Amino acid sequence: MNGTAVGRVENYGYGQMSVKVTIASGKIVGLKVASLTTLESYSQQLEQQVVPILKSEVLQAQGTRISALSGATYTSEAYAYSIQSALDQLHFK
Amino acid sequence: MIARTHEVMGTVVSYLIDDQGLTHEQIEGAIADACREFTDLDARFSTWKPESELSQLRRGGQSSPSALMEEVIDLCGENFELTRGFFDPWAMPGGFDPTGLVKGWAAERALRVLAEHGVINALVNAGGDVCVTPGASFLVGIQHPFEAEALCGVVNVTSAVATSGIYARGAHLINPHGESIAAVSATVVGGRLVVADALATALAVGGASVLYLLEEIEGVEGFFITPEGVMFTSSGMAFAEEGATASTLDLATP
Repeated sequence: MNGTAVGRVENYGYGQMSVKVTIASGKIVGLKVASLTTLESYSQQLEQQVVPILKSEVLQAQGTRISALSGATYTSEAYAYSIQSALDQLHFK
Repeated sequence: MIARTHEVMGTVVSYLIDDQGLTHEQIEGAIADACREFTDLDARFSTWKPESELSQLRRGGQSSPSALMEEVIDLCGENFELTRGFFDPWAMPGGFDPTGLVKGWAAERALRVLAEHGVINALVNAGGDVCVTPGASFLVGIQHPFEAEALCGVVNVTSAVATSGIYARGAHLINPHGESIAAVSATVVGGRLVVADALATALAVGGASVLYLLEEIEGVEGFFITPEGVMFTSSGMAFAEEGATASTLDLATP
């Protein structure tokens, strides 16, 4: 089975979308959004906040234990300078 | 707790394992097998190694994908639909690239390997994509997108957390809908890591349009930070420290 088909336009609450699917040998080999509209109303409802800055030297004052760090993927070099690296060293003790 | 790191998939995987009730041999066997799982998956799914199955697929030279490849392609399709196309491994320059999703999926598989060895309380962190054993609970710091030595939040993780953004690896995200990237950093907490991973990528790309989708998925919350430094959170997003001038990271006394 081979071919390409565009699905029907679906509502997803604040917007509409349709999907184009490409099939080769019965397997999905490509997906593409054929159309997408998002209403402004949801983004207008969102509450804006200032990003907190939790500095490690300040954070050291209290005792809650951080076990790991989540961030955009770091490379091996970036890891060496990361807080995760510091955490891993501490756990070895 | 035993900590171990493993360089693989172009990043560093950190293991944190509660060794209570397990012998030294059991722990070492568990870690060795989990690392082997990662190494095997890297060999299959690397876009850098020309002989990997994924590289062959990208060149169009492969007729029958392995069961693992089929599983990844299916997961990509499911997450494409879930994120309304904002997570789109088919839109990457250079062809189908499921790398982002594979990392979280591999972490889940490594965690399962640990569990098969009798580990009941553990965390696996694959370059910032974190999953923990069922029933476990770990505090995870979310890296601040603009301040190298700071966090922007602390979350209590009982299943998974993933963060995606453009600050660590340059502009490796693209918007399949042809618009600009909405966020410098996006975090999704809860559910399966492989899904949180895709949702975080989608949230970084789509911003409010994807945050809205999160509202409809049970057990999953998230937030994103715009290039201007404004933070938007889903309605149920809970930080471990409310008020977040928080003082929760104790690097001095583990």
